[in-house]
Amino acid sequence: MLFNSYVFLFAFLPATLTGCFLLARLAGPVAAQFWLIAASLAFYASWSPLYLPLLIGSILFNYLIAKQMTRQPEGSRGALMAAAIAVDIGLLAYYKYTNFFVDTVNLLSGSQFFVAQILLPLGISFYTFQQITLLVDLSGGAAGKLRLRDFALFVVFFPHLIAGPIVHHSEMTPQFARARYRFEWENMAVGATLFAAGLFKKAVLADGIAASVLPIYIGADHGHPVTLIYAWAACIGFALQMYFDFSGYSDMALGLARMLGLRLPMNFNSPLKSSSIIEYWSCWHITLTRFLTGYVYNPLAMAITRWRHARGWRRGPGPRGTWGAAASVIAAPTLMTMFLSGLWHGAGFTYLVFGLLHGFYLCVNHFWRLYRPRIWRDDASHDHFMRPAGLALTFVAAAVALTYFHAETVAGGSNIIAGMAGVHGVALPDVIESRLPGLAAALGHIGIVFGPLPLPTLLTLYLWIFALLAIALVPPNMLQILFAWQPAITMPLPYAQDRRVQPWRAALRHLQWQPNAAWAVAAAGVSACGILALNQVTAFLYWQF
Amino acid sequence: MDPGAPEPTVETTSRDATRMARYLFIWAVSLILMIAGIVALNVVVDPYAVLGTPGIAGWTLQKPGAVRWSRLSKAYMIQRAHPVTLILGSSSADVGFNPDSPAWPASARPVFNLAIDGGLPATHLHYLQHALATTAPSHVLIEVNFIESMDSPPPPAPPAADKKFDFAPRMRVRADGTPNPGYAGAHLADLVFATLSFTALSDSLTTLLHQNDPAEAFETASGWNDGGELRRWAAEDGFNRLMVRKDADKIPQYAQWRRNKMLQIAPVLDMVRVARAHGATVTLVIPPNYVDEMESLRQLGLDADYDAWKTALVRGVGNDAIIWDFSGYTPYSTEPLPPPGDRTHHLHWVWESIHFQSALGDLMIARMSGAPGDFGAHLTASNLTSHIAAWHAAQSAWEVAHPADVARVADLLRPKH
Repeated sequence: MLFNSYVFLFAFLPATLTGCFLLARLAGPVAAQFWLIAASLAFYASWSPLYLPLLIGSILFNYLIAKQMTRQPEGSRGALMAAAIAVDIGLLAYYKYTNFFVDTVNLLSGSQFFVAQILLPLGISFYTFQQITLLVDLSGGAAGKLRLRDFALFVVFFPHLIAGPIVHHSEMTPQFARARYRFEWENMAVGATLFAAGLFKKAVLADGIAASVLPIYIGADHGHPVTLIYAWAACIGFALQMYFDFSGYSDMALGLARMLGLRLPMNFNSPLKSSSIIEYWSCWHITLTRFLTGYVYNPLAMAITRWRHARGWRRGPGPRGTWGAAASVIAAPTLMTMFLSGLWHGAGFTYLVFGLLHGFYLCVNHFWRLYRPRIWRDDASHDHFMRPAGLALTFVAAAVALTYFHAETVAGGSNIIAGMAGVHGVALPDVIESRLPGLAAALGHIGIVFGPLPLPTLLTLYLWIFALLAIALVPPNMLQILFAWQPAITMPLPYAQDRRVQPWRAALRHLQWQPNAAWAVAAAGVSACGILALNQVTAFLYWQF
Repeated sequence: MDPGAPEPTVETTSRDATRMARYLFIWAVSLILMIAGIVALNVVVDPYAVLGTPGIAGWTLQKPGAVRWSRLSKAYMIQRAHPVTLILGSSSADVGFNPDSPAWPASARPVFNLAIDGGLPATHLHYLQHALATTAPSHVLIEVNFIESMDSPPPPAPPAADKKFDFAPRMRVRADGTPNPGYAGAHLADLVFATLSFTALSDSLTTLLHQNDPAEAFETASGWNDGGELRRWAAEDGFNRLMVRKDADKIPQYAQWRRNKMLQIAPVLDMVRVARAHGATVTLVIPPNYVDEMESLRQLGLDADYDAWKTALVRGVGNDAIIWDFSGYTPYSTEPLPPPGDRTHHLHWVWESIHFQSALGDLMIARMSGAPGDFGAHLTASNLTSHIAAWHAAQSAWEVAHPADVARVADLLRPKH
């Protein structure tokens, strides 16, 4: 059951909200909580009923471990935590990586080990990570009283169950405990507005451009050389599709939670407005970045630093430090973290390339920040130049990495990247040749060839790209539009203070949602478009993880 | 890592419940009005002829959307039609046989064209079974195609839930002829799609704005694709470009298929059997493809397979069907191709190598209806050998007389790097 499906919109959601509000009024918030747990499990079962016992088993296992940990002194919880995490990761590894591991061994050694295809339980990457965060926090002494219903709702709460945001126990459980689960006009208005915007982003914008992008990727994966203009369109087009798909999903998740009177953390903050890859990762899938930073990068960097100190190597990275320090304290944990990030996203070499490319980008960005003042001393001129240049560079770099994310094979992704570099030449639809022979002759002289390619398809794709780029780069995002109503736990800066949009923020700073007739009609239009687009149903890109 | 301080839950902080309630009310009313307006428009226009809304001449009668979604539209149109003659086949028959042509004898009318663009014989068989669940035609005319009878590598799978291609759920019967239990659900989904989707809205507007536009392709109420798209391309780019484009698209595929060739005529024979079991007479039609197609088959070494296919058809159908062979080196299939860039001279009988024009379709209908002439041959077991021999003699004569065309086709078959 997708968020962008008739059954969700017109059956599951009304039934869940009505049941929750009625139970809360008639029997109190605890009954509403149980209702939400049951609804969330039904939501999950609608996808993969076979894996429902696995989800429930995982929750019970982690709850019992967590409960046991709370009974132990803070300093002695490490062993239990390590054992539980090993089980969680083992389960994830079994379902997600067994086939990949066996295939890789066969590829490298020429062996022919066979393991039947193991279906990935939906959302296992997300709910495993969320439970690990709790265990780690408990090990460090965080988290207070644990109740099974709070814990279960924290894991299975349907708005974030399948594709995040990855929430912390500490930010959700207190809300669950305090919420009244009553109908509130403001919650419904704000939540429904955010949900409608997310539906529009996903069903109209992301799915709209997807139809033009997918055929190029299919061709690339089948080995058809992708020529320059199509390769750029495919690369940039998919980056935009991915952004609107996943940020649209996140808006929907936040909107659903808000309808129930709850807030989830912000997951996207206009990442395509970023002018560096570090800034990009602080705005793209923010809750994953938060997890990786807190639970992978920081512990790794700390361990390396301690290891260096133990050997008396006290000079750190930076202009007065050493390259060795920079490599070990910055590059090593960054590459390791992004390698794991790639692996988390999917069991395949394309995801590893995606992760490692981002690791490389981040290292370059960190080193640039460290050493740039030596090379380029004038901060003002640097900022003046690098904001637009960095924006373009960051976007293209992220799009290149996402090309591997979308391609079925590394060869397919490389096919497109090679096409972007002009390796496969430049081809245009032959209709140009027949209708504009003069222009075609001139283009032919510079090596452009003409083939039986559909011109309307190409024009449509570029129109989509320009339109989506404008939407992604110029106006405030939905959280900024709804800023006054605080729809998320963590919020972006208000649009008027967002220096990334300086050229037009004065003109658009009044684009703030108000509960008035104009916004209501606009929201109705957006909702109508979303509903009309439901017929082109496609799964969210992130639901395969 | 800073997980963020717990925020208070959002409740009882409504700044202005009345304003919020009014906002939601205006939203709901606006949404209902918008959706109702769109549904009403789509019901009136009925862009895919799914609902059966009577067409309004000059406004909604000709349906461009139904051409693009012919698998959807024809599945429902046939259930309302009660044809005496039913046409099956691929896009050749779809654009070539006009059911409303005066060439049809009165005894054969009304005619419905159930040919499916891009369909394979198994597709046509399924549509025939679907049609026979609600109608009882007296005659079934099936366009059969050698290339479509080759067991080719499967094309790339269309995206899941692609309503354009996934026709089986909306058939009244399954491929084995038993009732399809999923029909009602698929029908409901199609109704929603035809009334409440961007695609339907777009096609409704196209229907209204491009009614009687000669550059637009339409599907008529009798299921005929009027070839408007081919007509537009021919006018804009010239017939030479149209031919080259089709050849470049199709002929390299034949080279692929050659490596996997295996004749499959079972679905054709099944169509004959099913139609006969319902009391219909059956005519199989081998279409008059342009000479490029035949020459490419010869150069690929598929000549013997082509002859074997005809032989298998004649033997397979026996007395259960009549076979008309309109292929060959006739004035219609060897009409000189205008030179590149020429948009003034037209081909009169074919659009390109595999689609014949309805004018030629009319000649074929007339011949099959008893008109005198030497175009086309009624294939039987007794004349098959002599027919094939004459066919190859004409082929050899054409090749000797047209070395440039032979070289042109050879170039198309050469692997490109």
